[in-house]
Amino acid sequence: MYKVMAVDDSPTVLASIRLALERRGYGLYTYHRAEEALKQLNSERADLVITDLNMPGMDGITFIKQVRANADYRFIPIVMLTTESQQAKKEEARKAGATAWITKPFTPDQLEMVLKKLLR
Amino acid sequence: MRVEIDLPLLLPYVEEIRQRLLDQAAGAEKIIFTKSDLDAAGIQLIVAVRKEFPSLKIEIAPGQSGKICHLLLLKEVNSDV
Amino acid sequence: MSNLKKIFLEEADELLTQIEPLVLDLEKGVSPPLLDELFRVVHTLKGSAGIAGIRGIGELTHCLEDLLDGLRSGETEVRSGLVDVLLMGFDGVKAMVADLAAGHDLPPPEELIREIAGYGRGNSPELPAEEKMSPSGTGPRQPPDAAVEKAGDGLPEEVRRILLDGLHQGQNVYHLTLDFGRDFFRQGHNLTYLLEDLAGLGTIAGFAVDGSRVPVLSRLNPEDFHLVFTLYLVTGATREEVEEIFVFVVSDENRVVVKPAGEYVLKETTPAESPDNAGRPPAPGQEPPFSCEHLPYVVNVLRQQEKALKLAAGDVLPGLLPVVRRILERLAGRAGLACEQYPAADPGEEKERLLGMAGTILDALGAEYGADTAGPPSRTGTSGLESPLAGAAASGSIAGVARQGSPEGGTARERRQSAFRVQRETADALMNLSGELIVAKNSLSYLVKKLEVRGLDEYARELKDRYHYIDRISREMHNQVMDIWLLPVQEVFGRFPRFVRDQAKKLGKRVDLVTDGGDTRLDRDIIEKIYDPLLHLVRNALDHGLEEPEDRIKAGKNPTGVIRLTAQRQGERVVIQVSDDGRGIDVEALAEKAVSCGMLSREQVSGMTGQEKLRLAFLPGLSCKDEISDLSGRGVGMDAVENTVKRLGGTIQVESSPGRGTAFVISLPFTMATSEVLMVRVGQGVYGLPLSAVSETVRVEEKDLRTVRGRPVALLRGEIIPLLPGHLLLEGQSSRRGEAVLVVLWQKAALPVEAVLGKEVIIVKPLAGELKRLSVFMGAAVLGDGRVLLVLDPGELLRLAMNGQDKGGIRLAGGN
Repeated sequence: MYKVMAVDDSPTVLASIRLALERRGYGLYTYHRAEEALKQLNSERADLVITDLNMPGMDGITFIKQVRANADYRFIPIVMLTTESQQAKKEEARKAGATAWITKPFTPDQLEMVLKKLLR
Repeated sequence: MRVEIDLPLLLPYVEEIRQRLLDQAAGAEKIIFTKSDLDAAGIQLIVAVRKEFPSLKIEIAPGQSGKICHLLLLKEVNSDV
Repeated sequence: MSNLKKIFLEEADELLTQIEPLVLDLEKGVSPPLLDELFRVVHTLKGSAGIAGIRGIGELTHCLEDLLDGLRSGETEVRSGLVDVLLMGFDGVKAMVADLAAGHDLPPPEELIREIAGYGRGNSPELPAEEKMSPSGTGPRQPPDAAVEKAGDGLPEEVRRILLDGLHQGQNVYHLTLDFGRDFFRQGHNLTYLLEDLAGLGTIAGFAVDGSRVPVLSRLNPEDFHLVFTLYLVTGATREEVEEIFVFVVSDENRVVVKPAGEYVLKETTPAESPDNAGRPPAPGQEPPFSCEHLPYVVNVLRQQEKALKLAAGDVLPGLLPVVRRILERLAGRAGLACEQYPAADPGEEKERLLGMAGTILDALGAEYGADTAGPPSRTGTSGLESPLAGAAASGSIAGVARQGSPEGGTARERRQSAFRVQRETADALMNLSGELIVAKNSLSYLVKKLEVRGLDEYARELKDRYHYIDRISREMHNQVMDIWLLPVQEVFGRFPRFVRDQAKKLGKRVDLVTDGGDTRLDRDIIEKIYDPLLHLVRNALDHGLEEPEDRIKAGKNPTGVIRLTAQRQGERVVIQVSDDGRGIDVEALAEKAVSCGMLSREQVSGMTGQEKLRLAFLPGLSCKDEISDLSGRGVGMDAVENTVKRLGGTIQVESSPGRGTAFVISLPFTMATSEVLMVRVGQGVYGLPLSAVSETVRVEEKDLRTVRGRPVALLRGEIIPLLPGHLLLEGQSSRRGEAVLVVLWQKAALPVEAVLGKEVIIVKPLAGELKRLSVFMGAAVLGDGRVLLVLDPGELLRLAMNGQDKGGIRLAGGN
């Protein structure tokens, strides 16, 4: 079973991620803050990471860089959650190692489409 | 001399395979990969091996049928051998 | 409705507004660049429909695209009725977009498809319609065998067979090049998945790996990516669907080129020119000159180099310059330009030289090939040199679609590349927030004063420093937000060519519509509301202003009349003009009508100048008399036009000369969201005057203040300017000293004030309750220190002033 780590300060977003993942039978760890998620990287090895870009505390781009710096996470897909107005930031995040993105708001179906491209 | 490598030719293992090959391939006639897995990083490794040791023979275990991409990649590697 | 559909609807609207003027341009003459541009837009529309999964619109646009492609290739001959067929087709698309908005994705009407296909077939009967209209992607552009036979050079027989069979079965064949950057693995991508997805679309053939960039094993970092893959894909999917697979992969470093095989083969005869080879060193002296189809690509490369250079700040990346120089030298060579300069030792100087070089080549190319070279090719997303943003746009993704610019002109088109859509609500909210930020920021300066009064100079200074910093940022932000808020006037102008064409046809008149200044930018709100008044004026010009062709010939005029729509920014205002070269307004008939309706006495009319009589056209009562429109050609609903313009803070004036034509000049503030006001003291009170209404402030000596025919006036540079009796309407007395300060309005009248206190950006709120009746104020604003500032309505001041003198009751549109 694939395990997914999702980080977003919005409970609503995390809930909709859960909806999409449960359908596919993936395991899910959710975190409201990037700092907490980082601490769990090694104990809860994930096959895919989903992260918001704008979060209080550590921001998404720093988080992505930190995840990529972890040897176990060098090649796993990282999906960022963006908004329409974040084009510049999206590019920055890609440079930091993000693999794909999904624009908020999104439906579980849309998220599923993205995941289908990255995990199988 | 034949060298057998029992690691899959996949991205997570390519660095380790590279180390082993550098240690063992000099003077060998044939390298046999006993695992059939192969991805782009694996192909790249094979290409690099050929450049380093042009006379070395390379053999990869036949892949699982049905894995179309594996077949594509494998055919590509073997056609060049 | 799905997000994707919503996005598609917005995009479709935008694309359709781009399409219509292009189709109408075809009527003036069919040229390859015009067809290319039209094809490009339709292709985008089709692709987006495909991505959004909207089949009906996809089918119809595909059919239209085919027709255009036939025209482009010369396969279909241009015959009369083309514009009608195209307009009908795009009207069909519009209707289907409307259906889609209502939730129905219906198939296109069969007759419409038949009609469009019929035109395309008209002179190539040997091609059965079914084949031309093959619903699978691009459709065969040439006999399939020829395409693959050429492609077949160097292909193994079995691969060739597969491709040929695919084409015979009506499938598409694409050649793909996957050229990914070194970090491909570390970005979390998986080539195997991508290949699986491709295989899911059809059959992969001729798969090949280019390992030439892979270092020897001992020097290899096996986690870097060095391979280039090429393959053929036989599929029923469209190119867009194939590209969609790589949506997350494509970037500056990761290049994916998908080409229909036929096209690819053609390109292969000149390998140095195909985009995917451009990054590699060419064999010197072997490069052929540019051909037309590569120009957009070349121009793009040049622009990229220019951009890269400009972005490279003071300490230029040392590696960048030689690379740019190499690229430029190659391009210069192929453009037939000499490139004598040697690299400068100083990086700064070298950068300047290279910028100069890029400019020269761009100029040369632009001059030779005209404006159409400026646009990006439709397939920019795969060139690899494009910004990832534009790449996303090309594959129909969400962000990268921009506002429509004028079809000509590289800058507008360039902007299209980088602009992206902002939700209406977001723009609203941003505008409000940035306005409030300005007001909030203003309060800081009052705080500074307070601190100074209390002797806390050190704190005052510190706060002042911060204030200036925030001031700069908030102003900059306001300007940027304003930029979102403003739209090109073309948004409105663009709606007229079709209207004029249809209307003129109906009336049997011949009309050229000329628009100018479409890129002038104007407040969104105003753009939305100014359409109706303009429509009114244009319709009047068509109905009544322009004569019948025979009458025009009799009058010694060109039988084709001209209606002009122009826009121009003048300071804080935008001036829009609607003019025609028709018969002009008969002012005597107009005055006669006003008298016979009992609106004016004969005496009043007889004392009027021609200009004053002309303004009777705006009299509300005259609108209901339909005879007047027959007599003079004007008068219908003109008061409504004037009212709308006034509500938008504008003025309207009319000029006309008999037999030569009529011009309506509308002057509008360029924005209504926030206003910059001039704060002035009149008597004891402080008031704001919209800066957009002020042309200058001057100090005049007492000897230049006079009374002419009982009206106070000022003599300014030899011109007599009426003074507004501000002191009568506002509190306090105007004290006459040795000199006076005048605020001169654009409308050629001046308000005497005690002092000019400075400028301030404010949000004007309309007055409520009893105060509403004080028409002399357009509203009030809260200043940073909490005080309320009343803002004067200059137009109303003027009106009241004139009415005071002349009880005739004519509301003047604008002074003169």
